[in-house]
Amino acid sequence: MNKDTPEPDNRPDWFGFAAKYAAPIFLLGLVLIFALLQPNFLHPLNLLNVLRQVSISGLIAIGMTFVILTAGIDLSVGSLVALAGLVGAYVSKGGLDNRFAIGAEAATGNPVIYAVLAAVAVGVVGGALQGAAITRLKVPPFVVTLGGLSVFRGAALLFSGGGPISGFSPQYTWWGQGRIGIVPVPVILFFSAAIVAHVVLKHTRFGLHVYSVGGNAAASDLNGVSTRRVTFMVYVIVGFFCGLASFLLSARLNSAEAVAGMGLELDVIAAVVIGGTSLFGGVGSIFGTVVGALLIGVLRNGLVLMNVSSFVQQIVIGLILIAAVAFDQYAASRSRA
Amino acid sequence: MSKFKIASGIVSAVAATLISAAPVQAQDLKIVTSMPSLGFPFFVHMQNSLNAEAEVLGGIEVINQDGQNSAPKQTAELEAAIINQVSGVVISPLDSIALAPGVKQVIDAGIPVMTIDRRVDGVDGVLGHVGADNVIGGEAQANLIIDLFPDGATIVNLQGQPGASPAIDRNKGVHNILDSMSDKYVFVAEQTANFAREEGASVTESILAGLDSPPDVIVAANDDMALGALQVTQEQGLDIVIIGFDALPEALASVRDGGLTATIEQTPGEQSRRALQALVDHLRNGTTPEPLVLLEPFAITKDNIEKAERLSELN
Amino acid sequence: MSILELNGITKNFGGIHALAGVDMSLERGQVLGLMGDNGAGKSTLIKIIAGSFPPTSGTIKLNEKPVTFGRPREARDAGIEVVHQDLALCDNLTAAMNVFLGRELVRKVGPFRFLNRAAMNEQSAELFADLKSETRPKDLVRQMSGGQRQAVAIARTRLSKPDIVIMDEPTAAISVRQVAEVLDLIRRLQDAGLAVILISHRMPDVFSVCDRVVVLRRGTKVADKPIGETSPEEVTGLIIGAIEAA
Ligand SMILES: Nc1ncnc2c1ncn2[C@@H]1O[C@H](COP(=O)(O)OP(=O)(O)OP(=O)(O)O)[C@@H](O)[C@H]1O
Ligand SMILES: [Mg+2]
Repeated sequence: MNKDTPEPDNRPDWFGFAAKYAAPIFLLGLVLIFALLQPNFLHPLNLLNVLRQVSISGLIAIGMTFVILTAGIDLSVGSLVALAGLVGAYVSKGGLDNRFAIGAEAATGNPVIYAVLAAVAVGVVGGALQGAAITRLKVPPFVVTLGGLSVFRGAALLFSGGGPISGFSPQYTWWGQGRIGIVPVPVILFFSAAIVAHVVLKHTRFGLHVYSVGGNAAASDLNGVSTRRVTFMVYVIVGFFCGLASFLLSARLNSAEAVAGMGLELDVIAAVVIGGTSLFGGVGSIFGTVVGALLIGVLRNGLVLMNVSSFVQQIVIGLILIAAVAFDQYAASRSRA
Repeated sequence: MSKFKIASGIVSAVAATLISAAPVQAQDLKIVTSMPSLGFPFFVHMQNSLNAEAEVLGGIEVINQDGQNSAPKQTAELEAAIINQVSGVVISPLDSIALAPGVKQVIDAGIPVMTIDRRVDGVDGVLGHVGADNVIGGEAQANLIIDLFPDGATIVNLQGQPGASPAIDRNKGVHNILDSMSDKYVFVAEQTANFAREEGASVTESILAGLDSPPDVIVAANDDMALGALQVTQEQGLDIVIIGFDALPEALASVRDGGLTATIEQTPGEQSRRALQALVDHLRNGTTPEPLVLLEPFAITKDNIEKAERLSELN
Repeated sequence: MSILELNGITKNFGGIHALAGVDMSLERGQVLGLMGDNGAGKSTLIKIIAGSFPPTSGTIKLNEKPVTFGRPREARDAGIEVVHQDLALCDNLTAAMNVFLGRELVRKVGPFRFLNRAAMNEQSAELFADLKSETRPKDLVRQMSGGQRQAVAIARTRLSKPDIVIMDEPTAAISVRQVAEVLDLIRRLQDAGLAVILISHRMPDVFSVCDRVVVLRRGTKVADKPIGETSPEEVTGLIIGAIEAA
């Protein structure tokens, strides 16, 4: 064997290990601390609550992972959720005439499947428009989706006239409030979507191209990868998840409104970044994102259970975001050295 | 201040919060207060009033929750309250519809719920509601305009954040009264300024620039926007009647000093006290409170400023 | 019959005239050395052949037929493989994935097609062994030495059965031993009847494998000669401009 390539040494690489599993280790640590300080934390109902609480932003975070892997960003998700949710609700109610009706009249209108399809369609079209602007007009994603954030919010307000649409049939609200066994429906959807997304990213050509475009777009192009198509598709994907999440959110809250999802993009991006996906693209995983979403959910829930002031909560979550990424960087540099 | 001092300051602040969270002896009730957003002084005042009343009643451990302006977050915190097996919840829901499923979960868990300021829709079993109707508050603004300008007036309407229920209701109240006299009372401009002072100023500036003559009245859906408008009219040396909403201390000071003409008092502190009293009475003595108590909002001007709840916060 | 023929290729980048009316042809089984000073336009010329961007004017003929490539992929499908000067690697992917990027091997499972990483790793390992390179298929390119990276880029050209292989300074970062391997590979390609364009600043390399040498100076072709009719001294003179043209 030639000497110009060093053999991998077989000592345990703690920093490599820590860098790879920073977020899960952090999550486990948090769970332990909360379990010790607040016995109610481990109550199965509480754990299921946490899972349900993270599942809606978690679904969008799955889509956002695709986007950030290409070194893109989508700031418009909160607004798109509001718009898609309203359109889905509108379809479900069969118009705005009985927008506030709760109870018997709520069941009138269109079947739930139409509402889902409408919400998802709005998400997909919204994502496609932004994807087209990014790939065709060559406007940076930050700018396009910052514009989208404003455009979709305005469209939602315009569409609904400001007010909410509420009072859905039990078949509709089941998707947000129902359970299969003891597991809430959104949780099942979240984890199913995570598995599918993981397989797509790690085991399909498209997934590989998402990584390659994020790693080196010019090189991907030279090798015959259609950077443009991949970039376009990731915005469609995040739009799809916005549509799905908007439906679950409106089912959970039994209402859709133009002010829904304000600031949601921050939670979503935080989950992806805490999960170890690099904002520079090319590095990250769905597993990390799921852990990141859980980490934020657990932290928030634990602090609320312990009656920590919401002001302090926000400080703690912000610091952990920075700490998680800093640790990632530090451990990665140590393991490379 | 040295870095160390800042750091230790933060640490002790966190520690103090954690310690204050620890249960104290001889308390029979654990009550959650759930505010839609403590980013707004209005709700901070409400929470402070609740805490003060709890102190007066005694034996109550208060858990303060903050929905951070997000229906899912406020719902998540209610779910935590259920897990913590609290005795009761006093809530001002961010949204009367979106919080309904969360409140229903609390009630289904056998925990009594009082709502203040805003109600929840379509949920059976809420112990009671103490509130002030925002529509009536808007009507109070309109009635004041009629009092001040019996022969009619031109009006600029600064609306609140689109879609937010207080914004919708307050606007509705103003129009309820004035639309029937649209020959005399004319809305020369209606724009949202998102409940924000800065936007109140910039929107007013643009509106004034576009009008041939200044309006008689600027009516705003909250004090922040009214104070923003005042800033502009004073800069331009215009004497326009400006009416705010919420009776915040700063607005009261302005009314006292001849800036704003009026603001609307919703008595949020009184609402909070009454709601907590009713809840505690129910928990300790098994009484059933009045299901609906609506306090009447009224206009505060220089003449009746002593009736403002938060006057004492000035100085 | 020439396999590749360029006529009057001109390329302007805004105000920069990178190429001015370059004519060139290439025969089957021929190895052409393309030389020139930094910035002479060598990479620009081969990027045009490889479909990275279109020429400002001029025509390309492949097997006597005019072609225009909208994308690199079209050039590759037409039988042109390129090792780019910057190697066009994705640092965040493994060696094997870089080799197969854009033409991954897949396994069919029902209606779905999944990456066949095992097969790609195995074939890459064979290609690296063929190039006598100590590159491990599963290593990330980020962690690789310059020579290993070059091996990855060269290995790509071995995936298809191209008619033309273009190498833009493939020997720039590698050891003497590996240079010999690359030159050997070029000879093998030639024996198999392929045409090769080799861009290099290393005179000995060019003179040991090339049949012909073309010299570019400031975007213009100043020489196009069989290797036997010139010398390293003349080529050096042409490159630096001491000799006007030959
Ligand atoms: N994309 C581009 N945009 C603008 N100018 C460019 C571009 N690519 C190349 N150029 C310019 O064209 C000229 C030729 O560059 P090219 O890369 O073809 O040179 P080269 O002969 O390959 O040099 P080297 O030996 O340094 O690789 C240079 O002046 C370069 O700055
Ligand atoms: Mg070059």
